[in-house]
Amino acid sequence: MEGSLCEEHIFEAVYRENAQKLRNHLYYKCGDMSVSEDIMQESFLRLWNKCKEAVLESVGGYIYTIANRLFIDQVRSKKVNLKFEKSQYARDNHEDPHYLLRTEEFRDQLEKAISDLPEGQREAFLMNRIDKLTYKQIAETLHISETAVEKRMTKALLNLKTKVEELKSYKI
Amino acid sequence: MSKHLEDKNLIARWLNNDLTAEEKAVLEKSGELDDLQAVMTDIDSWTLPPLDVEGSLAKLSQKRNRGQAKSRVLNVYWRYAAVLIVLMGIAVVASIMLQTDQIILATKIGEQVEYELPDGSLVVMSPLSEITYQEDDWASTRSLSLSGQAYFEVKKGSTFQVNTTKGSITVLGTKFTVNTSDNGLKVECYEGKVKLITATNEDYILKAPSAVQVDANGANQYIPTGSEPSWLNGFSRYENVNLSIVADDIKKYYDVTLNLPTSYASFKFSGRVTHDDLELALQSIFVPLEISYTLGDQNNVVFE
Repeated sequence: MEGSLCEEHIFEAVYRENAQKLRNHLYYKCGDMSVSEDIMQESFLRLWNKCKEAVLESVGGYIYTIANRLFIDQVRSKKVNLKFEKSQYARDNHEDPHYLLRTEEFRDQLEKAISDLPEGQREAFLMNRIDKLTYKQIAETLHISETAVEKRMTKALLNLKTKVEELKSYKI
Repeated sequence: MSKHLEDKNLIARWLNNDLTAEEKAVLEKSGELDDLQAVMTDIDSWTLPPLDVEGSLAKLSQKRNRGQAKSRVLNVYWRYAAVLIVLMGIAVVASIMLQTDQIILATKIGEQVEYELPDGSLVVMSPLSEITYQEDDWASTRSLSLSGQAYFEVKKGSTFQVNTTKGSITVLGTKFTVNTSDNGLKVECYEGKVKLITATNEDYILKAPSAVQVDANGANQYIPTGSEPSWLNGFSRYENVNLSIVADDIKKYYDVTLNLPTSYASFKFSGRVTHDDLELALQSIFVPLEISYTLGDQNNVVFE
């Protein structure tokens, strides 16, 4: 991308590309949508004020750094309750070999299990599954190595696997 | 039990489709990830409410403009230049119209605003202050007009000039405060060097830390305390200052009616006055001086 972030049309393009991902990322951390939107907007305001110092190629990572600093300042570690929009499965379809895993209760429990994941595992996992970011993209955004991302994913998946087995055993 | 899934982040690579043919075959045979696979298929379909990108961008642009200047006024100044063109013996007068962008910043009672000038220099304005400058050639001509009080952190660059009715301050790159009022002009320099030329054509060169106060009584040079003015941090510090000045300041930080009896005007006050709590501020000023007063419901101060 040519030009400078201080040019309005370039700034707006950066906003369009990154705003939703950033808002989601903050939501994964705190579970509060309006707080997430506020911090997201405040981050872009600060980015605008520093537009001269920003390097366009790495602006994605830079805005996350700003946002995380704001997040730490503003949001104390609280219990996180994530809620997602889910598609409907046909109820009690016993031909589906995984029908136990499709019930509303199960999915609510699953949602809770994801909310209970430690923050690092939770944010990497959701960035990968919901925002569809690759391990490489997650590594660049969070300023960690790709191996570190894999480790977080491994732990998250093992946690969820254990939870799934637990929940399934209650049903039997 | 699932140690092997952890080894070499196998399970993370399984999710990422990053397995060797061998690893893949082994997992498929054991079926241990079948349930998790089904769960992942579900989770992958989950969504969050989409962000209203255009709507929030519009809101952000509003905030950007509001934050940049409490009152941003675009004035179009027309300047006419007459140019005489002789064309085949016919004289034609053409007028050239020039547009300039003038920015006016103004703070209200109790309002302290931080603002970044186009070159990155920082100005913090006290309540009831006003700054005016031309935006378009700021980089080459860093000149602004000030009434009231402001603290500046000036980036190195072209000559930076602050013009007031009482005098002009010229800077090359430094941190300083300018305070103008009906009574006089005060300049405090915390870092670097500034040159002050007063309206009565007196010159002062202030090399940090150094300050000068010029009023009807003359000029008083002193060393400012601290590396930045206290009012940046929510309070004012006074040392042996006329009570009338303290009373004037109170009226800038708080929306209060206060008419100081003339008999008290030249009492000397030293101490701290907060900008955040009116009752506390009044107490800290009048109690040590043993002046009785009452604060009424409509924020009016009445003296006995």
